[in-house]
Amino acid sequence: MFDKEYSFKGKHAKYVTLLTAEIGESKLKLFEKNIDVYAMAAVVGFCYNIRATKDNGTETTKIFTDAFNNNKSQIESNYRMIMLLHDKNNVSFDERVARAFKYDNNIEKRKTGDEIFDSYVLGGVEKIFEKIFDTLDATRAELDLDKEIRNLYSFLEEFELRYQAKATDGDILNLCKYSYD
Amino acid sequence: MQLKKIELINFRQYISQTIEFSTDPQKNVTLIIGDGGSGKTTLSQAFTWVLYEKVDFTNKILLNSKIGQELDKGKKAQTRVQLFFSHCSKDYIISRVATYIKNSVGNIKQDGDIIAKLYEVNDGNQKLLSDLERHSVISGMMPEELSRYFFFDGEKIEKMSKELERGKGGEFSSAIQGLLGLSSLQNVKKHLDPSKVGSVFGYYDKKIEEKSDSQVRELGDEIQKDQSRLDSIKKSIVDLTNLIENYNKKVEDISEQLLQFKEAEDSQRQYRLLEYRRNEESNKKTVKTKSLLCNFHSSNTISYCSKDIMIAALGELKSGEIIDKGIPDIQARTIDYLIREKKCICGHCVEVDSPEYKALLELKDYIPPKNVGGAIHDLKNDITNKVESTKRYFDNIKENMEDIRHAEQAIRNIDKDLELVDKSLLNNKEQAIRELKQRQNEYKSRINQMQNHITSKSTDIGALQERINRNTNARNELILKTSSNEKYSLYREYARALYDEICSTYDVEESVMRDKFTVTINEMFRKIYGVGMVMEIDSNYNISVQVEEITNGDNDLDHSTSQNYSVIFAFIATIMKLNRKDDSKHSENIVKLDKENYPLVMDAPLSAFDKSRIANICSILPEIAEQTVVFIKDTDGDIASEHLKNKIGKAYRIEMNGLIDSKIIPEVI
Repeated sequence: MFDKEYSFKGKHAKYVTLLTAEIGESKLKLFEKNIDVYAMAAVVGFCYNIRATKDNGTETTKIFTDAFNNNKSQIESNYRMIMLLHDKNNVSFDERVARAFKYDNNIEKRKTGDEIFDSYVLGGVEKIFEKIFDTLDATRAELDLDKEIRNLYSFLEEFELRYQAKATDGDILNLCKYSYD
Repeated sequence: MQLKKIELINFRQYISQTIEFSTDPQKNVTLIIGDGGSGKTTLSQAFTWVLYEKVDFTNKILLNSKIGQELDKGKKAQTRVQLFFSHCSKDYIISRVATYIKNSVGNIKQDGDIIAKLYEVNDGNQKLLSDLERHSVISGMMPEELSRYFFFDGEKIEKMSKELERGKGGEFSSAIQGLLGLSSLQNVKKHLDPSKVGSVFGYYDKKIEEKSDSQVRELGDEIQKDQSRLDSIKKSIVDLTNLIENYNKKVEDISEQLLQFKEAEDSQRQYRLLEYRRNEESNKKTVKTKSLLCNFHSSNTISYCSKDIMIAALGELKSGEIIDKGIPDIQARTIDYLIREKKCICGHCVEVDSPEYKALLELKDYIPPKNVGGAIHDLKNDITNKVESTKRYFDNIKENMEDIRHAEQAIRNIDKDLELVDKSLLNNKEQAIRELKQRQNEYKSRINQMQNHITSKSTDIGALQERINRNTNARNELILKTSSNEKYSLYREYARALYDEICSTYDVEESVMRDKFTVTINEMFRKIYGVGMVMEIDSNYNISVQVEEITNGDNDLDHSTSQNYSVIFAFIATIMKLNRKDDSKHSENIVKLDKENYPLVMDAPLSAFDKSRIANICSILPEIAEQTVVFIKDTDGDIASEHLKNKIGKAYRIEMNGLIDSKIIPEVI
């Protein structure tokens, strides 16, 4: 899994390019690399339940294999959790467990899961762009560091509020201690 | 004295002009309207010239410039002023004529003496009075030293206003001495002053010296030399004092200029400080922004955002049933071995694509390294580590954000302050300030030097005076020994006694008159200004004035033009009042004018007054004198109409034709 080059196309490429652009004289960037956007987008797409399909536009921006290698553990963990949780009502528990943990080296069997994950990534890219720039129109997006920082903080605050409403760190740690044997 | 008419022929800018004055007792104001430079002061000075041959002009050639230009070389022209007036029920005409000639190089010079004539008019007949009679009538009617208070021009008002601001009372001193007739006493004092070599005292002293023996003569010479030196030192101290006053004024002027620059300096300093603080806050903001982004760029961000998913996933795993079909201690390579050997552990054959083969392949999904339980275990460990590492993640981000907001707020506040700084004061004036300060320090250094000189000279005075006294005593002792000196010694002592008597009389009368003057001027001020003032004049005629109304938080005279002019008008009214004969015991010593009406000819800068005071001024003016000739600016015409309307008997306007020809035109008010 995650051992091949990946390309964003069309509008998603534009979004990722803007999200990883240097801002003004500060030369600071919101996201340092495309892979950072990719990793965050998967989580965002799932949390906001937004999926999207590949855009056919000509613009392209890539993530090379090396980048995936350096972030594999993080992305794989998220992949497994998303597979475990996606479409609970319609997909059996066993199938979801299999998608999450068993089909790693089976490209055929993994195809459905990969498509689902990819759609969450693209949906997540759109959501991240919208939250940071207050628009989905890439041509109207202005690089304004102050504004992007403010919007980024608001975005993170939403995660905090969402999480606080459900559980604490202690709850997670307790669940981690539970044995499934 | 009542003015009837004045005629001016070739008198400065007036080629041929006549003014008839209002003699109506109800409407006793003659109004003359003219702007600066039109000739108001010339008119005022025409009175003093015709009466006393006295003008304050720098240029003593009074001939009209146009007449002078048109005059041929070698030809003459006259300047004449004729004043028609009455005094003690008699009518008079006084005329004064100055003749001028244009010399061969085209310059105008006075030709001969200025001729004054006084005629007494009776039933249409004019009788020429002698020079002695003329002096007697004029000085009896209005002594020259007092005339300046009845002819009060704008420049005098300006001068007195400046004196008041500096707390000096030169004019006040002159007024009081004039009222007391002290000028004559002053002259007597000078003539008798024992410290003066040329005085009566000095004359007798010298007489004694001539007849005395050589010892007395030597002492006399020494005393004389020391006295001369003493006089010289005193004079140089006075000169130095005046110089110091001038330099102090220059130092003050520079201080005022520096004050304006100081505002600019302060604004610049403030601007630079604000810019510095803004940069500081901006840097702080940048640092915190970088810190926030640094936190965001860490792997903790994804972990933090995934917590929600982690909870759900763990919950799902807990609630689901994980069936682990793995076989203990059997690993994938074991199966690979069996498939390779085509034989199971139990000995059964395993052919490719057989059911046994497929079952073995499927088993590989459930045994290490693909053990589901193991994978879940790894996931849980991963989640545990991520939760531990993200405990303070959002708190750190939040702190960074708060710091950024504080910095932004600080920048906004500083930007507001920057807008308030007057950018017009930011021009670089450092060079000018430096030069001014340098000059000021030079002046201060000179002042210091001069003060040191004065101190040193004062010490010399002390030593000299002591020596003079010692020598004088020694000389007196010697003189008394010779009988021939007794007579002159006696005369000399008489002179000294007379001098002492006059001095004491003078001092007492002067002090009493100064007090009386002070009381009366305070009364008059209240009438004019509406509130009271307390004016104090010390023996050196230093003036301090406090006005009752509160201005700027304290009671000191704030030297506004309106207040200063009110003081000056009160001054004039006081002169008028004190000149009248009364029954006070000090009236014998006061120079009294004959008891009759006197005119007042003066500048009245009405627009310099507060509106509330103009009515007071305009009601007081006609009451100060029985006949008032008032000069006002063109712009004050409406004010005069409003407040003086019922009192104006005649009105004129001065119209200028260039600088050398003014016309006096009757005006309708």
